[in-house]
Amino acid sequence: MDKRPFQTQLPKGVKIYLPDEAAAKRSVEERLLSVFTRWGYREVVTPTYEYADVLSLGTDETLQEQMFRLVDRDTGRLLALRADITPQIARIVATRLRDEPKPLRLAYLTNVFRYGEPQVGRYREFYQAGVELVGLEKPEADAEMIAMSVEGLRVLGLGRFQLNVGQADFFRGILEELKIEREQGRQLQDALSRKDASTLEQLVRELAPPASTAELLLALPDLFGREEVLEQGARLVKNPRSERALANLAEVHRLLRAYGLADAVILDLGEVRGFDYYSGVYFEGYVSGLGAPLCGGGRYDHMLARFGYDCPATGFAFDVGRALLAMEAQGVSVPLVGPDFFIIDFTPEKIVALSLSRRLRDLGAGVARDIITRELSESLAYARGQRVRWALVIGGPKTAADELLAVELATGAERTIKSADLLKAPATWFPIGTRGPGHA
Amino acid sequence: MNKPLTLALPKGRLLAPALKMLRSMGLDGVEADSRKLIFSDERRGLRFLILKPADVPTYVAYGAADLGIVGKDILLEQEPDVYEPLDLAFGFCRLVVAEPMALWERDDPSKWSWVRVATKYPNLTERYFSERGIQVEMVRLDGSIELAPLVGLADRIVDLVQSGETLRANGLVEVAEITRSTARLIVNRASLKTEYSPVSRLIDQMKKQVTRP
Repeated sequence: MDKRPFQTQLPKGVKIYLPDEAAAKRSVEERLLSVFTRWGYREVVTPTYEYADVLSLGTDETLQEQMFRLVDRDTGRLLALRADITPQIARIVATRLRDEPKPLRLAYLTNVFRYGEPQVGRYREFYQAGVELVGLEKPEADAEMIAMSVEGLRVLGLGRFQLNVGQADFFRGILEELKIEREQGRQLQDALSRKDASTLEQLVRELAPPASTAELLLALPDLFGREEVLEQGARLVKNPRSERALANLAEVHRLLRAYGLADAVILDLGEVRGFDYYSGVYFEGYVSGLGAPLCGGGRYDHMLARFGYDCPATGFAFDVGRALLAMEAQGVSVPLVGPDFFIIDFTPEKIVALSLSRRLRDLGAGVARDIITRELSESLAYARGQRVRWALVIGGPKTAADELLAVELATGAERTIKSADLLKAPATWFPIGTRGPGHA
Repeated sequence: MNKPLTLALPKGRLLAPALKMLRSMGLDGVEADSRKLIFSDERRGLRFLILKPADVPTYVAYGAADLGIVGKDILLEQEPDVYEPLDLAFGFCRLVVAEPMALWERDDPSKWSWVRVATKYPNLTERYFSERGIQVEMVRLDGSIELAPLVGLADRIVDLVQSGETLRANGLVEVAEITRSTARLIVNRASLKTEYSPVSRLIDQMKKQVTRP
C-alpha cells in the first residue's frame, strides 16, 4: 500500500508537465496552431464544463459513459466536463454563428476529460489541437482535413506515417441492404472493427445473405490498401448508398493525389470504428513507432442538426500527448532553450545588474538574475543547467570596476566588456533585438 | 532497410505449435528450451519475444510488438484494442464451469442465484453469470484453479480444459461451457497501416499454413 503522505498524491489519470516537458508540449501546440492559422482557421475557446444533457446531444453512448459529471449548485442540474470539443463547437455554430457566412473555419487547443482505462499515451485529462470546417459538403473539404493532418505530422518532424481513410456510409449501405436487427449489425461491426475474419465467417453463415453480399462482407477485412481498393470495392458492392460512398471516397482520393499525398494514404473500406460518429469520409493518422493513432477526424453532417441547425461539417484533432510520444519514438527532439542571459553581480549595490537586465529585456532578450550569493563556479554551473547562452559577471575577480565578464556557456569563451558600452549598444556585442520581444 | 517486425509468442501450451507453424514457413531462430526471451531472424527482419500469454495482448496493443499469437480465451477476457485477422486453428480448448462431483450430484444449475467461483478469467466469468441473472462472488487466482474447491476456497471454478484430464484427476465435473478457444494472430493497429506490406505478407504466409479442422 502507498504510505506516502496524502499531500503528494495525485488522482489517477492526470499528468504534470514539468518545465522541459511543458516546453515540448507548447512547441507541439504552437506548431499545430500555426498550421491551422496558415490554412485560414481562427481559434475558439469553449467552456470546460457544460450541462451534461446538452453535451450528450452530440456525444455517442460510449463517450457519454466516460464523462466526468458534477452537480451545478445553482440549478441542481448535472454538469459534465467536456469529453469532446466537436459537440461544443456544433452547438456554438448552431446557436451563435448560424447567420455567419459559410464556410466557418474554427480551430481549438484545449484539454478534454474522459474516464477511461489507461491507453497508449492517454490520460484521463489530455490535450487536443484541432479544427472544424463547417458549411461545406464537398469532397474538397474532406481532402483539406487530411492534407492539413499530413502537414501537421510533417511540421512536428514525424516521418513514416500513414493516414487510414474510410467512408462510414459504405458500411451503412451494406447494413441497409442486409435488413438485419440492430444487435446483429453490432456484432458484424464488432468483428469488422477487429478484422476478425473467423467471427465474421460465422456471422455471415448465420445471416445467410445473398451470395454477392456474403462475398462482400467476407472481403471487407482485407479491403484496405492503395487506390486499387476502390476498384475492388466497386466490383463487389451492389447497393446505391455504398456506391455513392465509394464514388465520394474516390473523389477525395483524387484530390489527395492532386495535393501529392497519395503515398501518405491507405484506403480502408473495412474500417468501421468511427462508424457511429461519422457520416462520411473519416480517417486516423498512424506513425511508425507509436501503437495508437495520434490524429483523426472526419465528416459529421448530422451533428449540427441535433442542435437545431442542419449544416454539413468536418474536422479533425491531434492528440498532443501522443504526438509527443511519437516524436520521442522517432527520435525527433524539441530544441529546449533557456534565457539568453544570466546576470551575476558581486557588487552590493546591483546597479549594473538591474539596469542591464532591463535594457536587455526591452530588446526582447530573456534575462535571469542569480540573486543567490555563492561562488562564481556554482553560479555558472546553475546557469549551464538552465541552458543559459551567456553569463554576465559583474564585480568578479577578473574584471575592473567599470567592466564585466561575458561567458559563452556552451564554449566557455570569455571576453571583457565595458559595462557602459554594453548598456549603450547591446546589439553590437550580442546578436539580440532581431527576434522581437516575447522570444527568449 | 525496414525496421524489423516484432512477433510476440506465448510461453506454455501454444508455444510448440506456434513454433512448428513458423518453422514450416521457413522462419527460424527461436530456441524453445533457451532461457532467452528475445530472438531474431535477421535474414527475414523478424524479432521474436517470448512472453507470458496474458501479456501478449498488452505488448501488441502498445506497439511494443507488431504482431502476436495468443489464445482467443485471453482476447475475450482482456478485449484489447488490436486487429485479430487470423484464426490459427491450433491450441483448441474450452472455458468451462466445473464443480466437485459431490456438489454436482445434488446441484441444479437452473436454480443458481448466487455462486462463488475461483478463476483467472474474472471478466468472462462475470459476463457469463450476469447474462444469466446470477450474482457471482469472484475469487481471483493465477494458477492451479482446480485446487480451490478441494480446499473450500470456492464452490466452483471457471477454467480452461483441453482433454478434461485435470478436472477428472481432481474430482471435478464440467457443468457448463462458456466459450471455445483457439490460437489467434493479433496485429497492432498502427503496424498494419504503417508497416503495411511486410505485415500483410506475413499474414498471408500464415494464412497458407492454417488448415481448417
